[in-house]
Amino acid sequence: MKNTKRICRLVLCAVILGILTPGLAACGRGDDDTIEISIAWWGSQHRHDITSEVIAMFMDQYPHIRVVYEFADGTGYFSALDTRAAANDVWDLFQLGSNYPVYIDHIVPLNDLISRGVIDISNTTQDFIDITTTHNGDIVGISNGVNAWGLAYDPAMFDAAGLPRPAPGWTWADFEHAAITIANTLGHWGMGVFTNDAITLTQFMAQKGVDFWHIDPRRLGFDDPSVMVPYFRMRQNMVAANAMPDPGEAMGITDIEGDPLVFGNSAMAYLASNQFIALANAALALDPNRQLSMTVLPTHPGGQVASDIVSSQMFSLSTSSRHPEEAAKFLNFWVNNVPANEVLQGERGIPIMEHVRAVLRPQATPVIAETYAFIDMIGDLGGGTATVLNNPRQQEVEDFLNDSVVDRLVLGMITPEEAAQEVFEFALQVVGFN
Amino acid sequence: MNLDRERISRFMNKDVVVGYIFALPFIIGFLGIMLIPMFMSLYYSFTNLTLGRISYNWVGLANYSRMWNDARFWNSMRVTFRFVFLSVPVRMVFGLLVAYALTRKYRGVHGYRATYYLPTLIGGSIAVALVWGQMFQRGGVVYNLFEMMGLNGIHWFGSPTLALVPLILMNVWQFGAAMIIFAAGIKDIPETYLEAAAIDGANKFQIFFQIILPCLTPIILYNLVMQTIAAFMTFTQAFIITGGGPAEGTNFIALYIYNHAFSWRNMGYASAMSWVLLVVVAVITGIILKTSKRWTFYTNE
Repeated sequence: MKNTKRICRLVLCAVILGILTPGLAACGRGDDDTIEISIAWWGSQHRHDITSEVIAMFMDQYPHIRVVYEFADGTGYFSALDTRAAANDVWDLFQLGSNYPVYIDHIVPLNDLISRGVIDISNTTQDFIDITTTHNGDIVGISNGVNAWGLAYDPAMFDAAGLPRPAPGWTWADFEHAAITIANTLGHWGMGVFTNDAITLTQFMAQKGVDFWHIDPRRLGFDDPSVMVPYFRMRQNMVAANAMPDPGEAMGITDIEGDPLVFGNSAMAYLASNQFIALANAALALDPNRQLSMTVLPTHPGGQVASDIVSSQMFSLSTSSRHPEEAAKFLNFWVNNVPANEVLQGERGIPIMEHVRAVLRPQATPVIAETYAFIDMIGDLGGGTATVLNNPRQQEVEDFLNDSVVDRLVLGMITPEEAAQEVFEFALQVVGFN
Repeated sequence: MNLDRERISRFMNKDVVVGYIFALPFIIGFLGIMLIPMFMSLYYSFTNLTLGRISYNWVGLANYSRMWNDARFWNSMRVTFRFVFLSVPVRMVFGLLVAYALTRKYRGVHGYRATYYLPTLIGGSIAVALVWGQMFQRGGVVYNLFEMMGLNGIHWFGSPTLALVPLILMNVWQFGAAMIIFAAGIKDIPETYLEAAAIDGANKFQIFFQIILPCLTPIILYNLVMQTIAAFMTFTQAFIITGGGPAEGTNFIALYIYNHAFSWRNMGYASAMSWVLLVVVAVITGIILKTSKRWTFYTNE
């Protein structure tokens, strides 16, 4: 009996030792002259290739800094990030989108590094710095590029259906009419999928001057669900008229290269401008004569401009970084170095630095040129840049809206009024947990 | 010094010590990835732990009362129960019939047995789930087959009730584990029973229902319990094929817990739901075991 106790103690000691040793070993690393920083991002294979190329260019220029990197697809990236965040061991630089408030505890503001000149932002405007990368006056990252939500469309299909091509100032009623007419005359869907109905709905509401989210994370930006009803009614009508796929049909559409617009099975697709490059290239690969265009979202009659320019994503500096100075040097290189950005070619969105844009723009292929033209179109319409409100619980509300409410709505299980009420009550309950 | 070494060597050569050292990998694994996390999750179920945030608070029973008012939780439970009660019996009957057929004596029976076990070997994998999803989608084999029979446009994943069918079929298709255990059980039935019945003039049906089936009841009980528990934890099919949709018609409880924990970061709430699921499965298993005394038959009794 006494022996067993002793053995138990021995086993316990061994277990504890086993757990601690790797941790101790890790502390002893990095005492030589080279400094190691880590960086991680999500994206496609093409993005991985060009990003690692830029990292190699950086290390050539700064031989005393070694950059180790990790990359994954979106889902894999965020599960890795969540695990590291829980262990308080996030990469020095990590890529974040508009969901950055979830990780705000792990982000070091860059204000100090910028004012000391480690990161040079003299070639951009305050507007570009403000969009989604500023949080309560702190700069939480430098945007990797900007984009705007809009519609890609096939002009030939609009012509074939006898419809005027979409142009700035067209309304949601025009949009619904066009989609249904295309379904009736050509037998194709007028519109593919709203990858994320929550984003479309948020924009639909913003055009009426109503924010979905509130600056206070425990509140919503609106208190009358009826503002959402017209959107849900349009959504239900379009599926009923076969102008949009139903949930069963939509299930087969999983990525931008697989959008029905690519195959000529629909006339419009909803996307962010940097995604247009992948979509148009996929369509060109099937038919080299195919021509696709981009235009702004529909608006309400006489309403506000449809789209805003937003930051597509950024790199943030983590609180667990032991070499913030060196990480900031990389950030500076990343946004300002011209040869590096010639490799990147605005794949993450149109660069925010004036001198970088000036070099890249003349090099653009026709497809990339279309995205520049689109961003200009929004700029000319006075949409400009906007600070998009966010909430740490956004994902939960979006998933509920997309996977539960919209499905039941278009299957006719609930009315547009009930859908609006459900979304409102759910969002209200969930932000209460913040 | 010498004395020390001798003491250590005596200690190390004791049977218990040797035993524990050999069992150490299991003990570490069991403590590190089973027992400790399990009790940590019990603790977390009383907190508002959020992935990505550093601080969290004790919230008492709030997570449990949230479940009570959470319509999606009840929907998940309803869908999971429907799945379990439909898929487990069909799978068991299927496994039993195939096992019976494959224990008859004819040529090449071993080859058949191996072939029928294949789906179980590969069935839990993501690749098969993807293929299965494609088969039922627009343009897939099953979709086209129904179209050829004149049933146009059955969107298996377009309706919350219909979407359950492919998932149940996929679960039934993986009857291999149950089949192997049934086959072993059938082979274990003493030949004398079957011969005696045959001499008494019983036909094949009578032998099956009155000799084989009663002798198999302990095996049926074992399979029933294991399959029920496995079905309650079904995750891959729903996660890969339907993502829980449409309209949450296939939002199994395991998937709902996963989403709360890792997509929406509500670790505390997810922990609480896991414990409720554990209790539910334990109660169902308890009921099966309690009633089993009435319908199981042991040859040695």
